Amino acid sequence: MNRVSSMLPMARTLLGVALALAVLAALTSCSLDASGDDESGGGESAGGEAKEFKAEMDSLARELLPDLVEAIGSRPEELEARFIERGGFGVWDYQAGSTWEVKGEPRLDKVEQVLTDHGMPVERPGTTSDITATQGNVRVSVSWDEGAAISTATLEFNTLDAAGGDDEYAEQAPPTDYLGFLR
Amino acid sequence: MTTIHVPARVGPIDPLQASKTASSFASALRGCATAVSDVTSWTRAHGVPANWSGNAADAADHAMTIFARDCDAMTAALEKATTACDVYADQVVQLHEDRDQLVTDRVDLNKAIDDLIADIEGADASQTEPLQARADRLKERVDHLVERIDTFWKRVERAEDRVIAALTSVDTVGEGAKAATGKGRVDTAALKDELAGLGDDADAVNDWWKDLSPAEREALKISDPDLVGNTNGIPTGDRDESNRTSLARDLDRLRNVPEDELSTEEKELLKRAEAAEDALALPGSDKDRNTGEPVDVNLLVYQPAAFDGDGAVAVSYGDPDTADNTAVIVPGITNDGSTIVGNAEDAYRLFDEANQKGDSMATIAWMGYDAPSVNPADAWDTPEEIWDMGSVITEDKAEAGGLLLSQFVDGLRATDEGERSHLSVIGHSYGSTTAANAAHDHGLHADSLTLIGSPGASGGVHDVSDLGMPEGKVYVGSADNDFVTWLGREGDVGMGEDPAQKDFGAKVFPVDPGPEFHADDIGQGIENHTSYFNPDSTSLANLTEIVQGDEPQVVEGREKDANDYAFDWVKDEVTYQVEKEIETTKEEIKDSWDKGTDWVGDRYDDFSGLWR
Repeated sequence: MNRVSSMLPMARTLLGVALALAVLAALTSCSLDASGDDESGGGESAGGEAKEFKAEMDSLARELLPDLVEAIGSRPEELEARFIERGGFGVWDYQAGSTWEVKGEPRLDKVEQVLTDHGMPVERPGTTSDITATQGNVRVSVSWDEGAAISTATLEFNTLDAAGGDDEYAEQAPPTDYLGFLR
Repeated sequence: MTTIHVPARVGPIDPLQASKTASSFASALRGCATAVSDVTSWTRAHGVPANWSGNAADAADHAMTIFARDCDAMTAALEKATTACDVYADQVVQLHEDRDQLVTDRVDLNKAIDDLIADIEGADASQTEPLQARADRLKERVDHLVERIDTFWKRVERAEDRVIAALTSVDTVGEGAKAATGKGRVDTAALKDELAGLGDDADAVNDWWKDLSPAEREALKISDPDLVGNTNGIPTGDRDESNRTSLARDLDRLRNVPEDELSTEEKELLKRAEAAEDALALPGSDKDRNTGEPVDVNLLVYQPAAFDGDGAVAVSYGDPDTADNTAVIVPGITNDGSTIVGNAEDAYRLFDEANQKGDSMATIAWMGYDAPSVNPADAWDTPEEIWDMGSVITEDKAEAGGLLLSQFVDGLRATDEGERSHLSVIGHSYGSTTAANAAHDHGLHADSLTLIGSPGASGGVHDVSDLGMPEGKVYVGSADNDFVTWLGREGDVGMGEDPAQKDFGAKVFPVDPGPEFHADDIGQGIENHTSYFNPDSTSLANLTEIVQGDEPQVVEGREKDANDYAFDWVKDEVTYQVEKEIETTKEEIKDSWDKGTDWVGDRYDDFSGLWR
């Protein structure tokens, strides 16, 4: 083991303590401090998390969407997945959603059946939606709402964990048209 | 045989040729008018370069004067045309509504006629008299409806005639020049002076604006879209049109310059303009379930160069002037004009949740103040970031922002139409300190104040009574694992009391606590701080109740001091990091030992081989 590598454990310890103390320092100065980290989460070197999350959600949407849209009984006019940054924190949610007019009775039983058939545990109702189902890091939710003028269905795909560190990739990734997944 | 005279069914009503999107033509025309107006102003302000002299300079000066005059003639012509188109666009919207009503009435009336015919077919002679009476009443209704339809088409014709007459009155340069110098030309400089004299009184601004003629309003929107678009008290529709004109102007100018020729400032400006454009486009083709129309999106603030280039922007989903419920969301640190899309996403999600039950909603992502725009991940990279982070330590920006927020809310109150809108302000992170400052220092004319992820409810605020809000209308949501909520403290240092404390007296609503995190996963800590609007979260459900004017779930406030959360975390974290490193070191020593014994073993094998 060379001298540099032998110092790494100590450096990491010091960094960990330093980060902890940074929060303490924030208390005394009331700074909203949170330093860039070096290993995961918010650091630029996290590498590939955004890409990985996108691949996971796109793959699920490709598989699920045709059946889901058939169950709902009509298709949205647009459904594009894109990265959206939370404030300026460098953490990115990947999501797609659409609200469109629907006619007739809610077809939530059919939606639930599709999600179950695809092996997704279903929660009905979700906290703010009628149905949610998760698989890995992806949540799918469907709501059926009556307004004063029309009834609408809302379909959303979103990642549960936000991707950190991949600012450049997330910022530059073009939107993915999920309607292209429909038969 | 007895005859009953039944009126004929009313024939179909022709569709209107003019689309409800006629306003987009007026917007495009306004954009052209502003562009020409800008050229006029520039030409008049600059003239020929100062170091030019002689006949050529005189000729150039003369040419520029002529050019400026012609541009002004075009501006005057476009002002008149835009005013006419704008008025026409409003009329078209009204005409569409009126036609829809006529169609509904026609369907009802024809059904009544069909029902009468069916009754007649099954009736005997003794029923002739009452049936004829019904038929007579229906005949009166038919005559009345036919008359209304006739009047309707005459109104359509008059509206078209007026806009055509206005357009043809300024379709030559000569007519434009006449419009420019004629008595009816609006003196925009005088209007600006009048507006400046009203100061920050949003009610007075609103009254003054409503008293202007359509031509005066249009002229000001063309000559000074930045002023009209960002003045509190001017109605939402006019602010939106003006700010979209400014936005289109910036995008058009900056996108036509090759990227490598843009200055750093221009690149930043383009970034902010594109962020505003993206925020406006967020709902895509989504339909508003209360109107059945595309979601109404309004650009209420657009100042991409404000605050030394950080930019100010506010986007509203729904129209706050007419909505039953309105919510203003105030973001905190790390935000500036370039991050509006993330703030807008939160606002739009809340809009979608709350725009139900027949109650219309408007949610506004308001990045209208200079938040400390530091990204913690970059904090140590550049001196500028550290300098800006330094501003988080103090409340200066929250105090300045509090005044701006208070004025913005006053503007919403002034432009509110019909029944008073239920208005909520939600401050997140440093935005909660800003909102609390607005309430404490300036008076916040909202129906409720909600503080989420708050580092402190601002100095001088000891409990909920210091905020001056209606009783029981201060709400607080604090995730236990949101490290920003561990910062609240009373005293000279910091940003004031933790509003989630039980003795602060606010209504604390439950939010998901978020996973525990370690210093080497600060990203999780940031996620915990930015999860209050997450889809399907407890926090979003409670915020939805609040902005609809209902009560959220309420839990007991914190009894453990905010700072103690942090001290406990630091204590646990030091232990965790040391234990982790001991484990890692043990593993590395073991690896080295294993590798060393392997090396010795290999050498033994080598030597043994030599002797074989």
